[in-house]
Amino acid sequence: MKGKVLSFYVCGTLCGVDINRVKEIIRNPDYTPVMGSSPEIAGLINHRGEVVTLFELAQILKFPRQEFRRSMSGIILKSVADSPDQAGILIDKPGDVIEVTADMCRPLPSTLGTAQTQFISEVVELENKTVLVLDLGKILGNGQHSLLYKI
Amino acid sequence: LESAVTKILIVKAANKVYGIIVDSICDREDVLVKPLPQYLRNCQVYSGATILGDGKVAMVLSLDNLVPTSALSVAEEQLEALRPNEEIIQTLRPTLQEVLLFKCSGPEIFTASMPLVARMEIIQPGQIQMIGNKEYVKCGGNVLRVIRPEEYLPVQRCLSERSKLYLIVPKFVTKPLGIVVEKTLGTIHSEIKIDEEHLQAKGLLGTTVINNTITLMVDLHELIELAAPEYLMTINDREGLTV
Repeated sequence: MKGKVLSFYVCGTLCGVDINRVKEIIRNPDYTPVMGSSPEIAGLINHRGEVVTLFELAQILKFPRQEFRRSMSGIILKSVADSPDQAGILIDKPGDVIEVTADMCRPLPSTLGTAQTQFISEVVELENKTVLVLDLGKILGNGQHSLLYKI
Repeated sequence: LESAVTKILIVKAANKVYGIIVDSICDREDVLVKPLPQYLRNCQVYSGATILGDGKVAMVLSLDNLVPTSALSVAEEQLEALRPNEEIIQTLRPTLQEVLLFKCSGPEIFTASMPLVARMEIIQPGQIQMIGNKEYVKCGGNVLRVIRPEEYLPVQRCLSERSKLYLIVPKFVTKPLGIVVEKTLGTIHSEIKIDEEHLQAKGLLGTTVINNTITLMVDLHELIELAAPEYLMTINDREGLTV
């Protein structure tokens, strides 16, 4: 891929999403947990008068659960045509915006589990670290293979 | 934190009353319920979400879905089958009851359970108008359908020469309706014991003795069911009424 990626940490892992999908970053979101919902959903939050569903990204990517979070932020995503409801993802903290070029992209390592690979579009190699770029379409889209379809 | 007090929110769904055990009750607020995001479409216990005055999101529970989700329905239907007519329970229970004593055109003295009566109206016989085979009266800006108990109960009907009549307006009707009585003898608080042995007719609960006089206990609900069933509340409506 080419373009800007917003990087952020989830359970200590550096991940990223296409910045064109990002609407806003919120700090310490005061969300309402929804009892009885799937574990991938953290809860609902009021974002400028709109009810936004916050997803527990760590759970979606099957990262080990952290008992205690020092800080928490949320990324509110732009809504897309095929899913009219607003969504956001819960992250630990935002990082830098990275300009990604095609030569920085690496194929997915086979050591990653399917839980991760199905939602990761590529691995971007930086000087001393790697960023897992997430495929938001697969996580929140309306398609047959998206997470939303299964939960 | 374990509290010695259990707080139960009493709620009404369909025609049943349920209790929900809650930790605490925050407030009562009029809210605009927003539809649930499609991501939560499997959470059927919620009917939506709402944004409260302080900006927090609150989930709105759907009682209609909460009850089947909690698998309460079976027990509740059994209960329904076991539950006899509420009014009968009330009248069989030998406790102090407030009853209205009245007479129609015949010599019989009737009683009716006062908690079922919304109000009384005084009318003149000339005000009653026949439309078709039904009688109506215009009373204080309202048109009321009037029914005469003598037409439906096994009692005497005499020619009336009274200059005023009374209307008993019951609580559980959906449209204005009055029951014509000729004379009211006041209300008393008494221990009512219904005797069902002698008089069994639709519209009557039985006889009861008040001040050494045999009176006929009218089942107002059944009487209206006989005379004008379309004026009765449905079961659902009736549950909302505290008798």
